[in-house]
Amino acid sequence: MGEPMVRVQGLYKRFGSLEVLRGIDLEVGRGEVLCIIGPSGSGKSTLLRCIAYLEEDFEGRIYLEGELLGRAVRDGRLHRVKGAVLRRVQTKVGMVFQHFNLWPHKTALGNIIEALILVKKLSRTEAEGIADELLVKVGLSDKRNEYPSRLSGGQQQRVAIARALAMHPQIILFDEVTSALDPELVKEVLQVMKQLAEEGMTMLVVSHEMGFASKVADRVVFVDGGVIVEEGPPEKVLKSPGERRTREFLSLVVHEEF
Amino acid sequence: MYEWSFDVVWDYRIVYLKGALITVGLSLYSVVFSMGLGLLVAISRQSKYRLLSFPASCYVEVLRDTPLLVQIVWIFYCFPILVGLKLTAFWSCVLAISIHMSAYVAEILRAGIASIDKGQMDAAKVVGMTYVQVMRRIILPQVFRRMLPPLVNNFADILKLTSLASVIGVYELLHSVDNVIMQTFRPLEMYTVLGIVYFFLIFPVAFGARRAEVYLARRI
Repeated sequence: MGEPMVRVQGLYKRFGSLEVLRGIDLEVGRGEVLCIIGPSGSGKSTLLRCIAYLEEDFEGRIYLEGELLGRAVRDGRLHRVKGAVLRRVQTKVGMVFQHFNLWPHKTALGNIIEALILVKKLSRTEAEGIADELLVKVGLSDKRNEYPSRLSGGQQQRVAIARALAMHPQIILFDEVTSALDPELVKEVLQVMKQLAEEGMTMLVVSHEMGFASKVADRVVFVDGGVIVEEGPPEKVLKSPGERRTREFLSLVVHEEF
Repeated sequence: MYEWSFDVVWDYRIVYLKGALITVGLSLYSVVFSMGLGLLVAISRQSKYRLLSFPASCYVEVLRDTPLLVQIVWIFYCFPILVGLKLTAFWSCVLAISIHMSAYVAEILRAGIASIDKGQMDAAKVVGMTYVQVMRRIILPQVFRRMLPPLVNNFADILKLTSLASVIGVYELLHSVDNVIMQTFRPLEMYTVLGIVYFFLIFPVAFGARRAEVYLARRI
């Protein structure tokens, strides 16, 4: 087995006086699909942003395949690391965002190859080869040369997934990736995610799609008030939760079949 | 009734031409340098390090709150004494206009950078781009596109401001024409044509700025 893909230990995160994460401990195994659910403002997104190192000021430790993220232990104390040392660990993580965050001045292809060329130092031809394969995978090879403004939300999100996949991440974080989509476009994105899960990709998914959580997730974590309230297999957490807070939350969300 | 006589102007057409070349030269150098400086200042002002952002803010404030004319004479007369570096009137003027306009360029670019959605920065960081790569490849290309109209307007402003170079004796348009008037005593004709020449220098630039605005409004 070895090290888990992600290990979060005693994670605290404050924004000013607001304590958003209050001691999170979490492990994600290799190939595991973990769904995080919880009310808005519970800290789900912040947790993902810490693991992606988009929030750099946190207390606690995050390990990716056993390696500390953004920190190093020197003389028995934690120090921040930057530059290449940080990036080597940080790029194990890919992330897909609620609002896609595609770069509007670049085509679908341009969005995917940018980091392959800049960060992985591939040649343009190599990068385009990878990008074209991924565009086929997400079903958008005909949109290769379109700018994001000419793509639907669902198509943009699939390009964003391809962009994340291109970097060969060990884990992909999905931050409410269907929340900004029109209902009829949600399915095409979830379909791609399901396919990834079946291929054995490690995924950490913050979502309100209970149908997806119950069918695809290996484990569901319920977060509220910056702490993990309950975790377990989806049939347990979603169908017969042990905690009152989980029950209250679930009674408020609409169950939609996926 | 005043007798207009534009023959004199025609006789001195070469003076206008030379003056216009100096005016355009001053402007082009100033545009390039003010853009470069303005970019540095804008990025410094964005910095989370106060050691960078605070001086950059002061720089912008001081330059915007003092007249360019004063900056020109200060750089021409005081700067050489303080630094021991003697600049010609032309280069003093380029320096003064560049520094002055860089404050405005910095403000334009700062607004442009702020207008780019933060999520784009996040997406770039996650795939492992460095700060410089993100700025160069993701943020700034969009900023320049979005801010093209005000930047081109700045260029038009610079063309006008170069007339201040006359006070330290740069033979740009205004000073050249002033000089000729001393010999011809035909200020009405010569100043009128001067205005027209300025107009034909600046109008295409201002027109370009407006076209750019329309073009970009349609695209985004």
